[in-house]
Amino acid sequence: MMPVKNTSGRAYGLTLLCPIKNESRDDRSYAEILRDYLENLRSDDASPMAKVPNTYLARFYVLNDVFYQGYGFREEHLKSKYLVFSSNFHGDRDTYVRGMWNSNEKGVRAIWRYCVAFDDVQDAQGFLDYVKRCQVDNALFFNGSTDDFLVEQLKALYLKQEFTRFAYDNQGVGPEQLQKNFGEFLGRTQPSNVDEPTWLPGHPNQ
Amino acid sequence: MPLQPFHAYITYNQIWTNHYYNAYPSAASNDVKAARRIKRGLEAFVEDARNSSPGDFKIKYDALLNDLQNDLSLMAPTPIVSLAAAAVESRRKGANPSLRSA
Repeated sequence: MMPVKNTSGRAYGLTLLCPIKNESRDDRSYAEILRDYLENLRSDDASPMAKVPNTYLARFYVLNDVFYQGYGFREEHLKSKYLVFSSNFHGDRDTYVRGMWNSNEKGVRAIWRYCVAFDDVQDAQGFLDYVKRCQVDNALFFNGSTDDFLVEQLKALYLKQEFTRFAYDNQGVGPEQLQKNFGEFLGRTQPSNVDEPTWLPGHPNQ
Repeated sequence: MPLQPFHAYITYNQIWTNHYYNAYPSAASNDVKAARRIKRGLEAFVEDARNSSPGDFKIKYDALLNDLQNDLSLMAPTPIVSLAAAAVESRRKGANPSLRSA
């Protein structure tokens, strides 16, 4: 049996394989319609995942089939096409999945509506039950970053950017003026206030 | 292992992502780790230098910069990840005018 490694500190790596209904609309398969839909989503702060609390990064793709590895290997095929969802986030799975539904039910429904058995999902608990059925455990999950709450990470990145500018702008400034400028810097950036000012999740130009 | 067969193997087995989201697209993982050190360093410095004279403040400030010098850098979007990625981005913006302001 393969080892299960879904966590790295307080970070969680969630992988779902959700079978797509073998149906079509206007001569286009659901898999094709879903792929087009995903391709046209904005990947910045307008992404549906930007609304989901504590998401570090996430990806979606449609898996058509497995790859034949050539002579000497058995040729196998999947019975369905799958929506694959992979997300790295802070915290435990159940809180995250409920948060995903509660923060962006519309976005979740728009993506998963082409999948088998998703029609039965009506609330956050139903979505969590569905996710558990589709989850594939990771054999290895490595988080190369920190495992803090996302608001902590975003505030720290904001401070890194602002303090770098401050250090650059205040080279050679005398002690009195430096102390005064730093006081203004603190008043403007509020280092211990994680809510504001800070970076927005997914925003490309901070 | 020779590079080309490995590259061919990876390319053959690659599955293209249809939607990718990153909470901090202009930061690398090292930036996130550096940012945590800077935030903690700043918070400790604020406490330590709270009632310092300007002269003492400057000494402590210089020590802070010395400690954090490897973590300080400006973050910005990468100009071009690859020519293929740039072509995809350009095609997307052409096909979907709403993306042009992004």
